Amino acid sequence: MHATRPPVSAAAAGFIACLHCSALIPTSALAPHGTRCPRCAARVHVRLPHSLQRTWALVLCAALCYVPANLLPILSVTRFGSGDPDTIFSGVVHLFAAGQWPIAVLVFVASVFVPLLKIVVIIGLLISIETGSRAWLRERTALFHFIDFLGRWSMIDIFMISILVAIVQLGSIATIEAGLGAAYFGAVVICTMFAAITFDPRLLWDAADARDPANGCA
Amino acid sequence: MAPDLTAVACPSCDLLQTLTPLARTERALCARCGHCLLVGGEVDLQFNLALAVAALILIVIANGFPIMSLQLEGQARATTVIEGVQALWRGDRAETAILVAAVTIVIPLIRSLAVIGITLPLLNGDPLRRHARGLRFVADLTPWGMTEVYLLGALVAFVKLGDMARVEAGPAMFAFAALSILSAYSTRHLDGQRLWLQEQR
Repeated sequence: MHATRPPVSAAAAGFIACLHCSALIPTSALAPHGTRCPRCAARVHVRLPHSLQRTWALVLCAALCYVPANLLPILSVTRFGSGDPDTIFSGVVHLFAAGQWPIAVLVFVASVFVPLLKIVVIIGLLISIETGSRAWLRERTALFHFIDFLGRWSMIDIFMISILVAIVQLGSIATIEAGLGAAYFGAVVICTMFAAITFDPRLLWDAADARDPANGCA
Repeated sequence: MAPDLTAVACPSCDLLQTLTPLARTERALCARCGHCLLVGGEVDLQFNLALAVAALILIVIANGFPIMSLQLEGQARATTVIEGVQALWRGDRAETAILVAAVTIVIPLIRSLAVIGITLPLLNGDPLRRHARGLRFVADLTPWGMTEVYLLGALVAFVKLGDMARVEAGPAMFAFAALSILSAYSTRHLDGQRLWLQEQR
């Protein structure tokens, strides 16, 4: 398909693409006057600034927070004076035991699986850039957009807790309090969302091009 | 209409390519990485304004009415989104309370107001340039509005509570369902890139 005309990236051709209005700006035209798009005045960069460093920092922070998010209780139910703390995972187990397996699967996927998947995928993508991998470029790009879309759904548990805490705290036989795990869990979601914002998927293609400039479309 | 070619670079892989005008149902995908470069159809400002006004009304309902009520020992307990935030705050989870309030109440509200603040003057003939900053602000805010995720969280709470007591969905539950649909439309239809392309033609 690309046999006659090798693909050319905008950066290689001397252009910067404005990510907001999609204007193509000759890099030379920008040099003296800073870094604003002449059409929409958005800040433009050849690649997102310090993308790798920022994404590494955010994703490692998310990975660190993921541990207490899962080990510490996210909520604690007090019935007749005795406390019964629940972690994310034990909450899933309770739902399973109560026979509500579709909800149990939903909570497990959204709260345990998706955040972990997001962390692992972003780290994997960062490593593939560091090593200049040329394999599965299209799939790796699509994978990034997929986890970017998935990330927000991890907030389900936090929202559920906010409702349980309010509705049951008023009752007389049981009270529910949010645990410290919930705070770490929120931090995981926020860090991974910011990591997806700072990650520049164009670096995947740059890294592959740098390895073998003759053939950019692996 | 003469076929006008627009040179663009894929935001996802930086491949240079040209776009031809698209029909309403068409999408242009990057030739190299498959990322969607552009969707067809004009941005309808009136539709966007209507969506934002409807969202504002729904946000009032979603926050002013109970999301669900629980009947336990003959007592009925109802809760709103804001009471959920307050309960987290009182339980020493201030950071979680702020997070929930931001993504379910504050950001959707600010986004709707900002969309109205952009579309109204544009409909009155203001140049797009004057609202470039507002458009970018709306685009940056969009991923942080999580009404549809809140709806799902509320449904999970609903099912969990259904185990120990009788629960009923409140008006806010339906408002959140409607808001989720509106925000999905609004995200798709207030597309800065298409607005700038329209202006350029």
